[in-house]
Amino acid sequence: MSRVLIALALAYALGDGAFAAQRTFVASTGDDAHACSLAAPCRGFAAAILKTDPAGEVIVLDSAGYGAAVITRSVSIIAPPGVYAGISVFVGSGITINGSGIDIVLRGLAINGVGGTEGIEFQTGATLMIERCVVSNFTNNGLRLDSGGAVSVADSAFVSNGGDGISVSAPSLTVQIERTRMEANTANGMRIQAAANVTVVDSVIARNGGGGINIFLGGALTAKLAIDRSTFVDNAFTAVIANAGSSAGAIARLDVTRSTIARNGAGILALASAGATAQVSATNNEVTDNTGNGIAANGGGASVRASGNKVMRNTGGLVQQSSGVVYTPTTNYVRDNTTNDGGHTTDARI
Amino acid sequence: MNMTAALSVTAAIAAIVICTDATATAQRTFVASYGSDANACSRALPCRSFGAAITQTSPNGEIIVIDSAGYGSVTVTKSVSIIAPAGIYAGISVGGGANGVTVNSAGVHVRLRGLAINGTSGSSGSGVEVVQAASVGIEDCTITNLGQYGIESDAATDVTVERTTVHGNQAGGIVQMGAGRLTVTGSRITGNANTGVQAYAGKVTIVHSLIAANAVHGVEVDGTSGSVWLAISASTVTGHSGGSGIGVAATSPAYADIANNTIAGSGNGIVVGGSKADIAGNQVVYNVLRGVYAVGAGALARVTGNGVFGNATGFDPVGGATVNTPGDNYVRDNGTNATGSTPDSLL
Repeated sequence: MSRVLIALALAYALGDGAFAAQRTFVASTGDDAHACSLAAPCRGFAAAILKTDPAGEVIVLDSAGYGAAVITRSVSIIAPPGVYAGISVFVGSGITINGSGIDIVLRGLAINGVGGTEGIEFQTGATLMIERCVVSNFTNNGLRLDSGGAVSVADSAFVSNGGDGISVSAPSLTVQIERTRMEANTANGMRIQAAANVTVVDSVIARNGGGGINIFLGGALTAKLAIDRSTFVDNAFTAVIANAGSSAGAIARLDVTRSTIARNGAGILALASAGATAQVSATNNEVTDNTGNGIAANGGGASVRASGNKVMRNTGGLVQQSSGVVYTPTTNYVRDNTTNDGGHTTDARI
Repeated sequence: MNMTAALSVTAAIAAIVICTDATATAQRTFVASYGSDANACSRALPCRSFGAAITQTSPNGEIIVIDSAGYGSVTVTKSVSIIAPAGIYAGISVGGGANGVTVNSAGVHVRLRGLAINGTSGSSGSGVEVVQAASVGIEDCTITNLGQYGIESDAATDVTVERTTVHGNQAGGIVQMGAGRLTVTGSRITGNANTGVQAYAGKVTIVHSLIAANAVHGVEVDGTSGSVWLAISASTVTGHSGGSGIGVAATSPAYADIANNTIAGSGNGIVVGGSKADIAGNQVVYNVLRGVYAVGAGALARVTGNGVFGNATGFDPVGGATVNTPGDNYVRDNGTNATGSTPDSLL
């Protein structure tokens, strides 16, 4: 037995190149002592990743749970449609990505917290692509982005987590999100607290205990958020906020278009003290039945350019507060709010 | 470690595992066509039915379908996910008064994914009946031919229906009885023998969905059981010749946000009865009676940016109702374009 151990240790010390493969496999019938080949698959992701060449692939062969993993090299973990690949997380994070310059693909995973803290944690890396994944029931965030880089998310759901659905806290980060649900998280659907560029398209952000998607800057950073064709409903607080805070030079830019924003705590808000800048454009949105104001700018650094919006049955329709400015080229339909015109500044059309 | 010691350790572990399985439930259980309900529902020894698997599954656990078969109706009284991956047919056939899935426990969170629930001849139950729960997610399911509703939510539950087909059910497609929150995305609600989506109270959101050829209305929210809100966008509502495409009636206060939809080929396109609706950016075409019909004192339709063509009447306010327009609708080729509307201004 000890001879086997020595042999294993030697093989390990010589580097994975000795037996790592470009493509490895996991299966319910596998064994982590295997080479993770198609004929002799492994049982868990953690073992398979160690036997996979950098930039290689781990393929799930059949439905089972495959365990949490820490990823320190470029890899794609792929469960094809037709296979349920679960990760139940009892403690810590489901997938932790921690390798300088690495590229990660996660496709078709169901990552579920049963005491776990974070669903997917991007600690260090270059790119992260998440497709067809469901991340639910973590005590903290569904997806936590602590590293700069480029992240894309498609056809996924971040549901019932104790913190934010998606938490963006790293600078120099680009995030694109398509056809994704952020639902029933205890805090926000998504929170951006760093100098990131974020795009959200065709997504549903519903029933979060905090707000929908917000930028919340605590220093002199620049964050940009573009939202198109998305639906924000029944979030307890404001659906969309660009909050630049009070640091001189902080810039929060938000462009929200063709979206339905209904029955939230409030609709669209630009928030910045003088010296900071919250700059919002709101075009062709439905902003209805929100408990607070529909479209508002609050503070000396806050402005909204509002055109083509339908703003109805909110408390205030268009609202200027504390030197904030809501510009309108007179193309918004603002009716049936408790106060339709809570202040606006007429702007020219060309 | 010598071999004898290793074996005895292995035996001890095996004994622990066996004892654990016999007395406790598992976080993840499995069902398969070749399973047996006498098994522990493990991956190696799956069960045969959802009913057996759920008793072996821990709260917040998952039941996974391994291969295509029927797995029987089930009553869910704990938080659990029942998941059939794509490419696997996981059927529940129901006849008589049985429901396909009954969820009945306060505060639980339940997810159903990839199930095919079908009513057989003589069915008088619903596909999914939520008697009580905190939330129920229904994803990638097909719910057809039930004698009652496709999906019936009885209490104040959050129900999400995603990428699901609800077709050919006798009492209607989806009904919300209580003050819950219903979200329907990317789904098809078609050919039901009553109304496609009906809410008597609570909040309804419909996005990117097709609601077609249901025998009465496409979507109706009526406030029978309390205040009701509807937000419907980017959807197609067509072919409700026996009723309306979208109806908003006010027994209690009712509010609707109807934006960027195609609403075609019904009796009336949109009916606003004693309630408030904003109707923006829709195509409202070829409805046999009216495009937008506002009925009764207090009914208020704010219409903006719509194309309204080929209806018998485009805008038709009656009985003290109001259709307000800021003058940016394109209303042509109707029998009568508008029997009345009130100009409104923009801000």
